[in-house]
Amino acid sequence: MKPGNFQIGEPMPPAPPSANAAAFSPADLSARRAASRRLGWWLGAAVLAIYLLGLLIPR
Amino acid sequence: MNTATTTQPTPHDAGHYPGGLMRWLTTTNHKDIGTMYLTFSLIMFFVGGLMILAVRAELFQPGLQLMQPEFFNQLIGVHALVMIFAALMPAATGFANWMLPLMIGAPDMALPRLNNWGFWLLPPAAILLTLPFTLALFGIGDGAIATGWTFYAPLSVQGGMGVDFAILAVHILGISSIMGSINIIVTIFNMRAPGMTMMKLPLFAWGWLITAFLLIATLPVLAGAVTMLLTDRHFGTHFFDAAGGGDPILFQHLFWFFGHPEVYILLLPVWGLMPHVLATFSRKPTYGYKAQVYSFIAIGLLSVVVWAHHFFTAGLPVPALFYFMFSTMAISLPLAVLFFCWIATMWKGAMSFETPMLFAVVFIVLFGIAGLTGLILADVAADAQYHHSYFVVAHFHYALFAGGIMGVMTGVYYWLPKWTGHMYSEKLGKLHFWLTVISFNLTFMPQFFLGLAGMPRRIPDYALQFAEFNAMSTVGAFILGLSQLIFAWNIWCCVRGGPKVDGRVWEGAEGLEWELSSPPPHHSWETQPVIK
Ligand code: HEM
Ligand SMILES: [Cu+2]
Repeated sequence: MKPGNFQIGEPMPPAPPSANAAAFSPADLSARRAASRRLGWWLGAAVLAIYLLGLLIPR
Repeated sequence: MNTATTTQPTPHDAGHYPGGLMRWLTTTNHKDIGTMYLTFSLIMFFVGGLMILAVRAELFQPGLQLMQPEFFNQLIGVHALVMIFAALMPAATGFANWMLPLMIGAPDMALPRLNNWGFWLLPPAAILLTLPFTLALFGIGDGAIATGWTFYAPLSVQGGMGVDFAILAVHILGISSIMGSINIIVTIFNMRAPGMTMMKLPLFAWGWLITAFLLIATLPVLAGAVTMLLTDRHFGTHFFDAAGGGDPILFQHLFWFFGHPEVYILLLPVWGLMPHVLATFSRKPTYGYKAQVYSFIAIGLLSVVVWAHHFFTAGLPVPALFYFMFSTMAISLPLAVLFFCWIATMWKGAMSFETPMLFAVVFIVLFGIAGLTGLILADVAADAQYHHSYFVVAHFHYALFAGGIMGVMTGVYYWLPKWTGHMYSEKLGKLHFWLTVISFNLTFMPQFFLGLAGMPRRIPDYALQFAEFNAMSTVGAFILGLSQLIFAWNIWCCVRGGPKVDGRVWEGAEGLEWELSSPPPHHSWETQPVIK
């Protein structure tokens, strides 16, 4: 197989993933989802903060 | 070519998914949601297209033939809002939903329910945008927003009910995009398969990552600006009302602080997609991966500090003019790096020209025209002549139609076999390509000359000397519009059936997404791929 086109200088996985894959364990998956929810709330809070900056403009 | 595909076990598939309408209303599957985004986008593309064909029909000849100026203005504004917020942005989000999990080795997006919400906010917003047209037919209100998509005060403070509908719609569209962006950011950060470091991330994901951060930084500003507009209209504030001590130019600052990054929001997903297509059909690795990543980041950063180039003529102080002129021109440097990488990727490749590749190559040329005419507009002295002329209209259609919509078409042809498991008709694809490219240029090239000759934008009538170029443009627009029916037909047929494709689809395709079967299993990566 030719070198992967999305990673420079490194070859693609040599075999189909099923051959060398580890299952996404439910624990791993829920940890990733929990981290995602946390970051998601922070990003949402940033959005709200930028929006509310408008209150500082004199009207 | 290696065609190994992974038909993965799908134990959850055992039939407890609701069918019919409930499947689509309640789905949290990234592929279903991606399909809904893309379908919605295609429908709204035709809605926005029909509106503007009516506009072009009116402009076919000088004089007023078909409609009143008020209605003409409403069509232009809603056309733009629909194309930007309901056609181009949802198409990019549809791509992200479909492809990001496949590309990074994730079973789904990180926050699937948020994903469902994000989509289902769109149809009500689209209805809100277009409803005032219908209401006016029954004598309620005076039609849709007539300020153009830019909502400039004081016109938007004085305008009718359509402005309120548009303000509400923009809020909802903004919330939807914020939800989508949050989901994309956390998915890219947290759901990558082991070994997929940030510097191995597919460029499509990088393009979307920067897009998502731009949306998060700028959409709240747009929302703030239109909320302030709403309070000016109904709750006695005077943010933008000079008579009450407010400042109409403040609105332009706030709007374009969002509006200019919005251009890159529309284009970065396409710039992320292009290297994949160019590499596949050149059968070579992408040239300059890191250079492209750094260019994306540089463009993202620069895009939020150049906004005032949209109102050079509004009377800014001279030092500000200089600053915004040079910072705008600076964006062409990282952009030139991207152009160089695209061309270098093709250099000495074993190229073949399937429909996606045709679109990708022509994208480089036409988007190049958009970039070069943008440089002309960025020149403060020159812009005094070109501002608010048809030159601007031509420029941003080379950017948004050729750079945006034709980029989306590239992606659709490239990925459609992956999504459906069928090959589309190359013959129809090529026909669609040639008709689109020729009629696009017939529509918009004359507008450059109209603008240079002094024809202002947003007018339903014009001086006699502009007649020939306008007639050409209208003929082009109708061919362009009709050609898109071929596109829709080709997609429809491909969804329904057609020659089967294997997982890799394209001989030169590389990347995790091509390791899965076509169409991929219900849960994309049940087992986690390991990137060596
Ligand atoms: C069949 C394809 C299209 C045709 C024939 C067309 C034509 C036009 C025309 C005639 C105008 C009004 C110009 C003026 O007098 O100011 C306009 C405005 C505009 N169009 Fe398109 N357009 C097309 C597709 C698109 C697409 C795909 C996008 C974006 C993704 C787009 C974005 C805009 C924007 C942003 C405006 C400015 C509206 C405003 O002044 O507020 N158009 N278009
Ligand atoms: Cu701009």
